Amino acid sequence: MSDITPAVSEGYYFATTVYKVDAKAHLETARTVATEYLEKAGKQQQINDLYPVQMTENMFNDPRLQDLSSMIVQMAWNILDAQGYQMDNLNTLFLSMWAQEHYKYSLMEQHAHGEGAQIVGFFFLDVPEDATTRMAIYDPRPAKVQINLPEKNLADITYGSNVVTFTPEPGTIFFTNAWVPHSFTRNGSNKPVRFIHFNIGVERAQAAQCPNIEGPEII
Amino acid sequence: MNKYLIRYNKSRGQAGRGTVDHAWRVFENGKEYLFKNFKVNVPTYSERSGEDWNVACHGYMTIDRETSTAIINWDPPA
Repeated sequence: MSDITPAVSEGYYFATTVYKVDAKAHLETARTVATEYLEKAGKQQQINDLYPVQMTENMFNDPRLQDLSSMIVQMAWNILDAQGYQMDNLNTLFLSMWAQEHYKYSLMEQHAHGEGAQIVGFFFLDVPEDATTRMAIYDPRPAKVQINLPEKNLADITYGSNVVTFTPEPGTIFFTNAWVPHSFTRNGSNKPVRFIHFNIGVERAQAAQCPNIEGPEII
Repeated sequence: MNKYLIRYNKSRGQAGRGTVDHAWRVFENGKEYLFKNFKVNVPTYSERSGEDWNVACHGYMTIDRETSTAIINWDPPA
């Protein structure tokens, strides 16, 4: 029997990518606006004992967030373009953007976003030092999840991993594809964890498809 | 008589897509207008174009620029 190990080339396909962006320049404005919306939401709805979280209405049309919003939709377009999608005739747009305030023991169960969302993201505003909240993403391939073998070490991120967690930091935005299931672990701190969640969709850039067609007339 | 398709402006407030109050896209024979309001005084029906659903009708449009309103009537403007 030969003891020569054959040469092997390795390729990785169907990757799941998480993008981490430093957005500290937008942090103070976003905190101010989110706090205002959260206070308004707090007057309209009571905190649920089972899910001690406060969520706001949509915020992406707030003019104070215009710089942040523009950066996010442009970043989403750049991500989809870099992933190989034909984006020349598509625009990215907000489907939703809202703030969440997670009190002690609050969590967000695993879910993914449909309804036309292509990119989702989280802008972390406040994360107490003793917060135990982690952002988790899950393997989006159900066939692999179904037959996954036990992992050698759950703390390692490997090809076999079913879940990967991230420690949130204020001023950081995470982007990923909307088909990636995600969740948040419980907050063990007496202080709340706050972040802005957003979903980005795409629409056809009709004017760009045919240069002879004028853009809309705004009345 | 013109054909009109009316649907929600999902990208309102974004560059080239009107203000956040320009909530309605009105297509007159394919030309797009963005309005804050509309008033339809003719029968309407639903029509799907691709992934978008429209309120569709036939008539003649009058534009009230003061209130940013599309008014669609059966008869042409005098």
